[in-house]
Parts: sequence; C-alpha cells; structure tokens
Amino acid sequence: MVATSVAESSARYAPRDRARHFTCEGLGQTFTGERGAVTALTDVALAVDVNEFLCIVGPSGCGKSTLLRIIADLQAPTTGAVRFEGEHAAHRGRNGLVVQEHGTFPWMSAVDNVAFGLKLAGVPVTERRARATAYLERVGLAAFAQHYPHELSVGMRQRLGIGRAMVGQAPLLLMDEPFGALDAQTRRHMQNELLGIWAADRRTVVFVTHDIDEAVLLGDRVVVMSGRPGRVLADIPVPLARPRDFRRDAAEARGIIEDVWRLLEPSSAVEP
Amino acid sequence: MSSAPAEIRPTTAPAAVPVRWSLRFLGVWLAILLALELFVQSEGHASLFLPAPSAIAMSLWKMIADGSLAMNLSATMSRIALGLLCGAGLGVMLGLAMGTSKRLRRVIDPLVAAIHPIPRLAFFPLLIVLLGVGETSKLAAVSLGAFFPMLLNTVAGVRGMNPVHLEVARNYGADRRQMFLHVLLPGSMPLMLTGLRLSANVAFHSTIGVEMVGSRNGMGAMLWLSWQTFRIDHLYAILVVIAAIGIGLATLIRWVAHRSAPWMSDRAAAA
Repeated sequence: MVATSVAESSARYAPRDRARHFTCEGLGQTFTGERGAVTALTDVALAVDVNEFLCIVGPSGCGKSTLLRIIADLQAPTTGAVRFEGEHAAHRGRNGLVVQEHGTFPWMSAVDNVAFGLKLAGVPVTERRARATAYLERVGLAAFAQHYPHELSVGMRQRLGIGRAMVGQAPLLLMDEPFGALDAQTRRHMQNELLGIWAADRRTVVFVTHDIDEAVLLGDRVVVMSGRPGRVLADIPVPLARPRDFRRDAAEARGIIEDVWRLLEPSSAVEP
Repeated sequence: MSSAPAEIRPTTAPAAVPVRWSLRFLGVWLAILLALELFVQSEGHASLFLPAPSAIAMSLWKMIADGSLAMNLSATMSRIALGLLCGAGLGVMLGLAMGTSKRLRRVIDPLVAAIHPIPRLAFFPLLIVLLGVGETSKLAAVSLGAFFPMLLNTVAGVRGMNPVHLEVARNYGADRRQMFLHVLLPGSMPLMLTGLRLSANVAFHSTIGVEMVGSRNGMGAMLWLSWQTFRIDHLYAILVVIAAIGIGLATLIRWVAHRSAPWMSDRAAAA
C-alpha cells in the first residue's frame, strides 16, 4: 500500500489501537445432558485487540454463540479461560450485550431501556436521562424516546439495543446475530448504521453471525469456525478500507467471501 | 443459533366481553326493558315471576331509601376487597418465592396440585368448624378462592420470563435486588395481572356464595332472604346490584392493569 493512502485514511479515521483487549486460551465447552455429553467448543484460541471489529462466522450449531456467552461471562467454560488485559479486567462481565430483537425490555420506554445500565450503576436520574437521550439521538431514535419497544419496528428495536449497549461506555460490545431477524434490505441498512455509530464511537466489537457477507463487510477480521465441535478454522484479516462502502468494495470483498465459503463447505457437509 | 425465543404472552381463556358505555349498549338495554315493561303491563297485572322493570326499580329505590342496600353492599364490597387483598397478596408473595426457588416449588407443587381442584365453597363448612361462624371463616373462604389463581399465574409469570432479558440484565450488572425489582417483577407483570383478574372474579363469586350459605348481611344474604320470603321483585333488584358489582370490579381491574403495565396493549391488559 502506498504511504500517502495510509496517511490519508489515518487522518480521517483514528488508526486501530494495537493494544490487546482480551485473549481466549484453550476454550472448551462440553454440555452434559440426558443423552450424553455434547462438545460445543474445543480448543478455541483467540486474541482480540482494543477497538477491533471482530466477526465470528460459522455454520449453525458451531458454538459461536457459546463462545460469545463465555466471553460475556454468562457461562463458565469447561476448559481454558478468557484473560482480559490490564484495566479491561475490571469490566469483566459488564459488556454491552446486543442480542436478537427480543433483547430490549418491553416494559420500559426507549429512553429507559437505554438508561437501564446507568440506572443500575446509580447514575442520578437527570444525568442518565440526558446521556440516554444523547445515545437515542445517535441511533436515530430521538423522536421515539417515550415509545415502548412494541411500538417500534424490528429495525428500530435493534438500534435501541445497540444504543443501550453503548451508552454505558462499556469498552467491549458483544453482538449475537443482532440482525438475524431482519429482512435483507433492513439488514443492509442496519449494517451501515452500525458501522457509522462505531466509527464515531470506537469500541472493541465481537460480532457473531452466520452471514458470511455480513462478517466480511463489517469486520476487521473474520474468525471462521467449524461445525460441531466448534473450533477455529481460520482467522482472516479483511483489508478493506474504512469507511466501508458495500458497493465500492463488492469486488474486493467477493474474493474474501469466496475464501470463507470454501473453508466452510466441507465442515457444513458433515453437519448432521 | 436457533430462532429467537417467542415473546412471552399470557395464555388465558378469552376475556369476558367488557362493558363499554356506548350508545349501543344503552340502546339495547333500554329497548329490552321497554319491551318487558310493555309486555308485563299489557297482561293487565304484574306477573309474579316476571315483575315489570318499573316494579324492580321501585323496590331497588326502597332498598336505597331505607339504607338496607348501602349496609349490605358495603358488607359485600369489604369482604371482596379484604379477601382479594389477603388471598391475592399471599398468592403473589408465595408465587414470587416459588417462581425463583426450585426447592420451594418442589415442596409446595404437590400441595397445590391436590388442593387447587377442590371447589372453594366446599371448604366453607370446614372453615366454620375451624374458625367459627364469624367474619374470620368468611374471609378465609374468600381469600382461599382468590389465592390460587394469583399463585399459579405468578409462578407461571416468573417461570415464563424471557431468559434473554435476565441475561441482558445480568450483563449490565444487575444485582439480585435490581434483578427482582427492574426485571423479574415487570417481566412477570402480564401474567400476574391475569392472575389478579381471575382472583378478583373468584373472590366476588365466593363472597356471594358464602353470604348465601352463612351470613346475615351482604348481597348474597339479601338474595337468599328474598327467595325465602318470596319477594321476587327484590330478587331481581338484588341481581341487578350484583351485576353492577361485577361490572364495577372488572372495570377497576382493567384500570389497575392499565396503570401497572402501560406497555401492554389494551387488549392484552383486558385479557
């Protein structure tokens, strides 16, 4: 790459901080049920840098959600550990978690949903309202502060979930197929929005999806997982310039997407 | 990942048709009463079994005038209110405890399973033996009726919480108290309100039943007395009052539901 173009892009976008955020070492997860043990994850090693946008992709049932839950500290791994670096250790289990569309609380208005984490942390009411309103604006829901989730569209609810995850300044955002329930058009729109929000307010993101195109178009790096038992098949950097332009980058992305498809073909073939 | 968990919706029998004070409602009833009046009057004399609406209104007016209605109505209302308060209150507390504690559920589930199917009024004689013929046994009978629907629905509400909401709350750092107050309680509110509606209904029915069997005052006692003294016009007048209690109670519960769960649609809140 030519030096000028690097300077150009780093002038517009802060260069990625190369400091390590957390490391997964030898993660394994075995569920023991009535019909014997099922190994969901085996020997997963992963290093994630601060402010990196990491996508995890794999066939359904490959344990990528389990991996996310382990990182979120919602679940203890059978083997191995997640090690957070330096000050990030204090945020263990206190992440911005975004799940599919039912993650927002139906009994809270939009602004109260966003302010939820702040309320738990004891932030005074006027301050948390102000901060929540600022984030509602950021995710384009300023006009819907008093609406309940059931009065919002699925896409708006998802933006609400993202606003709620970011308002607490959690350095790590964990997203579990947040756009999985959206139609293709809304999905593309939300991907753009997420990148916009993230560019303005950088955090480390771990984004789980089964959509390979989505993973390549969003991520700095795509971790490809195999079918059960889940393990890391490949760790593919995505050298597309930011801000991403889905149409402009289509040709370049195509090659990476093809690579991922090839990796997944044999593993999805042996899926039961 | 599997598909998203379906939003938890209270599963209840369809709600009774709520009374809406529309012109149509009043019109239909006015027409029926007018037709009845004309029919009875045309017979030339007031029928014994079918008194004219005007005669019913007259005896209702007499009950109001001599103060007997106010006295008996207040007795009935306070039995419903107190019974509902005790029964549903205990039901919601034990329900929340059972919903969150597997150990408690294991102990109490068999008791509930055995006692719940017994008709509430069947306990009344035993309650009189245990608690005497006074007000305590009546309150106990009404409370017992109100207790079970609230208990069962509260347990179902807590158990039916969307686990995603609990995980999200945990991830945002909710401690046990916050989890209960901000997530578990509002999250199980829809089914708790269903429980309240059913409990109020049972408390109302039990009160009238208990008063008919073993009370000197209250609308149930009045009703029974008018049958025994063969005052058919009284019988009708008292039934009108009892119907009004039912409508008033349903309206009150809808209002409470709307206030305590404004995020639910009116339809769901009424269900």
